Amino acid sequence: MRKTLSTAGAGAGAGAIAMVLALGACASGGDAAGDENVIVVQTNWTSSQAQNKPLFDAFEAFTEETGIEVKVLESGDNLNQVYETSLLAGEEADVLLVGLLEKQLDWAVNGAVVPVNDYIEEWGIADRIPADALVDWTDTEGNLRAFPYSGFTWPWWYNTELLAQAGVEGVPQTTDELIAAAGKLRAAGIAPVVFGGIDWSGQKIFLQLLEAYLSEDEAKQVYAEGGVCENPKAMQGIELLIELRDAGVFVDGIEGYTADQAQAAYLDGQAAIAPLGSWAYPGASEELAAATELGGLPLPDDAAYEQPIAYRGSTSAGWWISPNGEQKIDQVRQLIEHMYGNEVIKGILDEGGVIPVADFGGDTSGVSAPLLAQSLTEFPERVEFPVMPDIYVPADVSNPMYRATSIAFTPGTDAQTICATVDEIYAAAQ
Amino acid sequence: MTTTTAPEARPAERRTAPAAPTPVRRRRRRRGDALGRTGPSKYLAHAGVWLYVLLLAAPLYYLVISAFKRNTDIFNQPFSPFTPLTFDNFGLAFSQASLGTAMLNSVYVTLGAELVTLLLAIPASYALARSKGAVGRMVERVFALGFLIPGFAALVPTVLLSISLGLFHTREFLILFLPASALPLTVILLTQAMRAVPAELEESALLDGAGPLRVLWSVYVPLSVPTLTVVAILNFLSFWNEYFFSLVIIGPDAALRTAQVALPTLSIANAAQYGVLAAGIIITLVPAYLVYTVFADKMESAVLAGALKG
Repeated sequence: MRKTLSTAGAGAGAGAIAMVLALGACASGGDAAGDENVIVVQTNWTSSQAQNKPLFDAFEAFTEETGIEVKVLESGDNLNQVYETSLLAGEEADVLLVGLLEKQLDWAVNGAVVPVNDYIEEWGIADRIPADALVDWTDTEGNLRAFPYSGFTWPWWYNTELLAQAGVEGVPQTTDELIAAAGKLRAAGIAPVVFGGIDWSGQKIFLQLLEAYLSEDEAKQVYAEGGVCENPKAMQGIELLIELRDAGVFVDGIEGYTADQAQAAYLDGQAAIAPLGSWAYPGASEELAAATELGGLPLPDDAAYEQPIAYRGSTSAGWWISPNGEQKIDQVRQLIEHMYGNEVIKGILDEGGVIPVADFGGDTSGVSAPLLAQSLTEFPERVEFPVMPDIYVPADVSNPMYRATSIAFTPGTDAQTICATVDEIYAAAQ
Repeated sequence: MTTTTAPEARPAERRTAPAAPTPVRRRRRRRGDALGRTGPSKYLAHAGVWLYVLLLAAPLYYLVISAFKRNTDIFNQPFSPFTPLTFDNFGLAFSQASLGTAMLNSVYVTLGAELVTLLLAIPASYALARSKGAVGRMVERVFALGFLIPGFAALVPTVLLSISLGLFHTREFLILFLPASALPLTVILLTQAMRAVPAELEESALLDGAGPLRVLWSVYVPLSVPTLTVVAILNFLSFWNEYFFSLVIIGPDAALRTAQVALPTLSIANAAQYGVLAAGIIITLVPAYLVYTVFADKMESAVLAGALKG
């Protein structure tokens, strides 16, 4: 028995070790860090999204043209955490393609990335970027954090078929018309306005209402510092929110909706109105796209804007250069120049539905997606664009504000409670 | 002269007297009595148990049914099986997240860490089980203290350690690190199991000329296989499902990342694909369930067969 056990045990142990070593060998990856002929790109533009195919095609074309391999690290929503840790080890990616929000706001100041002020001029890209986008991407110390690459529109979607079905003529242009439309929709058994009252999407709508009476500079100040309760114009915005909420403009239980639930409710024809970003355009069916008119949030006559308002921005994604990337700046230059090529940008717009920040000549003839086409042509004429809060709201405030948003949309919450909740978050972050 | 009639047993002796024959029948009768006594309340108990089972099964059902649905159906009719169902999500999950490579990496890290854990825990438990002194007790308590350290609190020093060892962005560091988190429970359970090994067996082996390693391998390990199976399965599940350290230390490189790190790339904030994500989760659950069912059964069968041979 002893011999049997011993032999069997030794065999099992050796077998297990051999298996582990074999697995290690068959699934090992090469080390691209420091390789002059490889550029490591870290991005949350994952290959799992069909609209990102043109980006990956562009990388392949770049490799064919230059012989420089592009190794892509797909990171999803945890990109900033993973990047910062790898930076600590000196093994960070050379280039990042990611948006400007939260932790990324301070990357240039903290030395996590290299400011690109000089490169954008030397490489001839500055002339093609709108001035306001350059302002958005520049931090308080004057660092241009990255090359602005893609933007977004965030319109209010109106399902004109459902509106007509409820007896609403045309898209509401004022607060009173919106309240009246919501009443008719409810009477017809159709949900009115839907958005994610408990997450990031509701936070943006909360802030959109907050700035209804604020000038651009006032909005920037409130976003950066808080002080909502002391600002009479911001309080007017909160009163407007309460008016809409109590008039039943938002769907019941809006304070518990997530962005995904809201999007599904609109795309499935359950709700007639939803503020959804341009990333949702590919999800709309042909029939829904045909019935949808893109507009904005209707405001009262005494608001700071004459037309309905909607967000747009240039901060969806930019090309960031890391300290490692600066070590092979010539290869990085070739990649960036390639990605700003008209052909690549047109491909990303036409096939991917991604809105470029850089000037591409205004040729939208290749855009086949109807909602994307509408957002580039008619939509900008129907609305005004207030300050997009993402780049002004401090990173430590942004996430905690989701809770304040949910409280604001909960029936029965008064204006004082709402503003105090927001101000407490700002105070806690200081 | 002694009396011819035996004295009657005292009441205390009667109570402790051996039970009369046919204990099985008596036990059965008692069980039936107990069921009879519960009366209608047993139906309430059954209902409660089934309700609990449903509560536990609901999330699993939601996961499985979502894996066959489109996003909008998941949100609009979350529990309904009467929506258009598709197998496409499984193919998309496998290809888009490169789950084949990711699962190989998970197997490599999991088996490697499992091996290191057992190689360290078995001798340690053997020594602690045999130890009679204060030092042994103290070392055992040190292992128990491991439960007090939350894994998350060790993140920063662990990352710094991996960097200084030159093992950052490698799977091998995880193979060395994960056993540290599993050792406290493994050692404590194995020590208790080895303490239950009869001393006579060890004495017989020593008389036959066996050294300490032979005693461990031929006496203690075979008799501890049931506990070894339990800790091996627990560790497998823990290592297989580990996410945060794998994400931060191994990183997002598709050639190195584990299945748990690959999965979230299927669904990001404003482009969620919950059906594909659910399908990916089910794919990565398969090895865990296989180990839990097939492997555990085989191990227990082997224990029984070994016991009969001995």
